[in-house]
Amino acid sequence: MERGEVLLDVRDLKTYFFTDDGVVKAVDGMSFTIHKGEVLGLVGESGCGKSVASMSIMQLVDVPGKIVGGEVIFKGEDLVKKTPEQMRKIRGAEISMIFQEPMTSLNPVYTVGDQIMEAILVHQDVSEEEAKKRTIELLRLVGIPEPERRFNQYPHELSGGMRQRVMIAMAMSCNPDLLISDEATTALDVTIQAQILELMKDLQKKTGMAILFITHDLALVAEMANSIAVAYTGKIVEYSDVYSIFKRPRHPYTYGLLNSVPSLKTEKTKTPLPAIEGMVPSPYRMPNGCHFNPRCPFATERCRKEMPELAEIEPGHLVRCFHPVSVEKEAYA
Amino acid sequence: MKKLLEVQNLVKHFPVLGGVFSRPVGWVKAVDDVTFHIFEGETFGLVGESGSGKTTVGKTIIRLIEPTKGNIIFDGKNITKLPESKLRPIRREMQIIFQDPYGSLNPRMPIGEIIREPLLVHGIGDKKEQEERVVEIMKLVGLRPEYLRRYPHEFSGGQRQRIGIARAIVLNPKLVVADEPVSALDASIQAQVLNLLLELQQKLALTYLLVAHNLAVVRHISDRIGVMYLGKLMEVAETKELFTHPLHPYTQALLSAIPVPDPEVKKERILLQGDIPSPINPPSGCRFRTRCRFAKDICAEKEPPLVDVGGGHYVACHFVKEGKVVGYSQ
Amino acid sequence: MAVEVTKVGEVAGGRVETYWYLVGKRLRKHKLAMLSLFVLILIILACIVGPYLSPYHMAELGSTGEVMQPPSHAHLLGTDELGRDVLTRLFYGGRISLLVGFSSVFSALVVGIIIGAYAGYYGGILDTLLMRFTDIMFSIPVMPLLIVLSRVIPGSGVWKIVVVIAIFGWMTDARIIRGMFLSLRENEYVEAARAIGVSNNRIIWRHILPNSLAPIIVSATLGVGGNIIYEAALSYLGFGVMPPTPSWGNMLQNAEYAMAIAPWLVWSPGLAMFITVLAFNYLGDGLRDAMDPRLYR
Repeated sequence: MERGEVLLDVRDLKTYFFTDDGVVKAVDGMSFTIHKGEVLGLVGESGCGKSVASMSIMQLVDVPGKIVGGEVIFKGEDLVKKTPEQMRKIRGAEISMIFQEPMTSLNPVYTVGDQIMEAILVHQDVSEEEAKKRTIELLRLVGIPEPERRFNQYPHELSGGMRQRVMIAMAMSCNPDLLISDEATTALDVTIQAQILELMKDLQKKTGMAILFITHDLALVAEMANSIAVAYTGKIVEYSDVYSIFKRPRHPYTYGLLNSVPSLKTEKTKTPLPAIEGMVPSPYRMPNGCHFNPRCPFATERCRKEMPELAEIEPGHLVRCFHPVSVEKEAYA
Repeated sequence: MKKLLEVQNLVKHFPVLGGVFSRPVGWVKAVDDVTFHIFEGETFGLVGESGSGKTTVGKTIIRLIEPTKGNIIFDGKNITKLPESKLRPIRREMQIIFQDPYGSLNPRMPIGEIIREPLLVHGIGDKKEQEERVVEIMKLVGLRPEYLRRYPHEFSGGQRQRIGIARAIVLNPKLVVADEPVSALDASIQAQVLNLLLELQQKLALTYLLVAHNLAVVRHISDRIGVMYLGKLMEVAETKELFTHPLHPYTQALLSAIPVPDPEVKKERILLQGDIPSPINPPSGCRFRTRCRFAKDICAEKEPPLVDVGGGHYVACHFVKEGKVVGYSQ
Repeated sequence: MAVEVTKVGEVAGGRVETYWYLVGKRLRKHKLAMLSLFVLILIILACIVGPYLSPYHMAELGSTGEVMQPPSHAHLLGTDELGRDVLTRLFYGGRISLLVGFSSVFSALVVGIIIGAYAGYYGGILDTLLMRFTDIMFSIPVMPLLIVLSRVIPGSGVWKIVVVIAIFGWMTDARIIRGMFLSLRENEYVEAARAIGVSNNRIIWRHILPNSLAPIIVSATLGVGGNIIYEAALSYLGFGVMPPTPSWGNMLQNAEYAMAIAPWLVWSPGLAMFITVLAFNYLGDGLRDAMDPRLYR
C-alpha cells in the first residue's frame, strides 16, 4: 500500500509516573509513525501504556506523570516542546480525540449543539450563525437524525451510540489531520459499535484524516487498521502492517494473544483455549530482562537478563524479541 | 436428557418511581414472558445487548431478584414463591458468579473467609473441615492456599474472579449462573478463566447459565444459546445451528456486527438503523420491528410467539416457517 | 490444566495487607496527625500514670503558706487556692475529661450505629420511623436539659454528663451510618452474600458495617474533642462535674477570678484542653484522609 507522508512520528517516548509507592514507567520507549490518511491500531491490555501514550501525544499528562524523554513529531514539529498555548491551538483543530465514556466527556449542563459550536468557535474565526450551520451539518454527517432538533438536546437525552456520534462530530468539527480514538467503542453494544465503526471508516475515506485507533480488541483493529503496533508494559513489542500481524505474528505475546481469544472462526469449541500463562506484571515489580519472559514459553536465560530491542526481522515488520515465533512453532497448542 | 431448570413465562417489571410520594409512574419491562429450559450438565448461553434483560433473567432464576410473574422449576421443584426459610437449603444447589471482580468481593474479608462463608452459613462441617475444603477449592481454581489470609485488593482481576468462582462452587452446586464472568478481564486472562470454567464443569458436573454479550465467548463454551432483545427471547438453538443458520433478523444482524480478527474477511454488514428502544416503552407487537429490515404491518399488531421450527430451534418471528426464511450465510 | 498452580496467584508483597495496615501506612504520611497521635498517647499515659507518680494527692490541702503558689521546684505547676498541687489535679482532671470524652462518644456510637444500620439497610417504614425519631431527638435542646438534670439529680456529675451526651449525641452518627448503608447495600458483594443465603443480620454486621466504619471513626475522633469542650463548658457554667472532683472544666471555672494574680491556674487546664482537643482534631483529619474509601479497591 502506498503510504503518504509521515504525519506523526513518535520517537522513544517515555512517560513516567512518580507515585508514593514508586516510579511507574507507563510508557517506556515507544516509537511508531502514522502516515497521512492511515489508520494505526495501537493494541494492548491494561498496563500496556496505550492510553498514557495518547495523552502524551496530546500533552495532557498531569502530575504525578511526566514526559521524561522522547519526541512527538507532528507535521515536522516536536509537540513535547510546545507551550500550553500552542498546544491548545492544535488540540481540537489538528489533532482530535474521542474517548470511551461519552457521558463523562460531554458536559451535562450544555446542549450538544453548544458544545460542538464551542469547538468550532474556539479554533475558527467564523460567526455564531455560521458555526451553528456547520454544527447541524456535522450532526447530519455523523448520522444523527433530525439534527436541528438534536442540536438543542442535552447529553443525557441521547443514547450511548448517539453521544458517541456527538463526540465524533465535535472531534471532526475542525477537520483534524489526526483523530485519536481511545477505546471509543468499548462501552457500546455490538450493533451500535458496528454503526460507529462504519461511520468512522466512512469519515476517514471522505476527509482523508489519519486515525490512531487505540483498543484492546484485536478483532476491531483487524477491521479498522492498516498498521498495528502491539504494546506490552509500556513498550511496543511488535509493529507491522495488519496482514503481517495476523497472518505471521512474530512476537510470542502477539502470537499467544491471537490464539487465546475466542472468535467466530475458532474451529474446536468447548475445548480449552491455548491461554497465555500468568498475568501482566505489576508496574512496581517489573521482571528483569524482557518484560514478557515470565509468561513466555520460549524464554531463555538471555531473555531473563537482557531487554531485546525493536528490530526489523522482515521488511516492514519489527519485533522486540530474541527468538521470534515462526509459524511452525506450536508451543501453545 | 433431564431438565435441571425450567423457566416458564418469566416476567420481571421494575417500577419507575416518581412524584412526591414516590409512586410507580412507569415500569421497566426488563423481562417480559421468557420461557426456556436448561438440561443437566449443559451450558446454556444467554446473549443480548443492553436492555435485553439477560442479567435480570440470570439473577431472577436464583431468586436474587424476585420475579413479578411466572414459574421457575429447579430440579423438579417450583421455587418461584418459596419462602426464604424453605429456599435457603435449595440455594446450596444454585450459585452465581458475578461480572465485577472488584465489587463482588467484600474488601474487608480475607479471601479464605469469603470462600468459607457459604459453608459457615449452611452449617457444613466443623471449622477444621471447612478450612480443608477451602484449601481444596482454592487449589482447584488455581489459587495458592497460602494466600487465604490475604485481602481481595492484593489480587489481580483474574485472580479475584477465581476467588469469586471458588465461592460459587464451594457448596458443590448443581447450577451456576455466570453473569458476564470474563467481560471485565483482560484478553489474555479471559482464556484462562474460560478454560477454568470448562474444567470445573467437567470435574464437578456443573450446569451453567452463561449470561454474556460477547458472542465469540458464548459460542466457545455454550451448548445451546438463547438470544434476547428488550426482555424477550428472539431465538433459541444449539450453538452450531445458531451460527450457521441464524433465522431471526436480529440474530443475523448481531452476528454480522461482530468483528472478526482476520483482516482478510470483508464484512458484509447488516447495519441496524437507530438505537435500542427503551424497555419502559417497548414497541408494540414484535419488539424488534423498529429496527428490522423485514418489518411489515403485522409486526406492529401481533407479537410473534417463540415457536419450534424443528430440532430444538426456536424463533419468534412472523416470517419464519419450518426453518425457511430470509437466509444468511457466514 | 493449562496453567500451573504455582504460576497463577502470585501476590505482591510479603505482608498481609489488612485494612488497618493500609490505613496506618497512609496515616504515617501525615506528619501532623502522627504528631497529634504521639501527643495524645503521652497525655493519656500521663493522666493514667501521673497520679501514682505524684507525691501529692489531688485533694490534699496545703498549709496556708502553700496557697496560690506559682510554679516551683516543689509544685511544677504551682498550687491553687486551697494549696492543692495543680499538676496532680491536672492529671486527675484529665482522666475525668477524657473519660467523659470517650465514653459518651462510645455510647452514642453504639446507639447511632444500631439505629442507622437498620434504618439504612431495611429502608421503607422502619427507615421512616427511625429517621423521624432521630429528627425529633435533634430538635430537643440539650443544654437546658442538662442544666435542669444536673440540679435535679444528685451526684458529682461525671456519669450524668456521660449519660446525657449518650442520649443526645447519637443522631449525627445515625444519619452518617444510614447514609453509608443506603449506598453500600447496593454493592455486589452484598448481592453475593444474599445469593449464598447469608442472613440479613450477618450481612449488616459482618459485611456492611466493617465497610462503613471510616466516617464513624473520624466522627468519633472529632467527637471526643468536642465532648471535652462540652464538659468544660458545662462545668464552667457550674453544671458539670462538681468539686472536689477535678475536671479541666471546673478547674478553669475555679480559676477565673484569679487570672490576674495566679495565671498558672488558668493556663494549666486551658492549655491542656486546647492541646488535647487540637490533637484530636488533627488526628481526625488525618484519619479522614487515610481512610478515604476511594483508595481501597
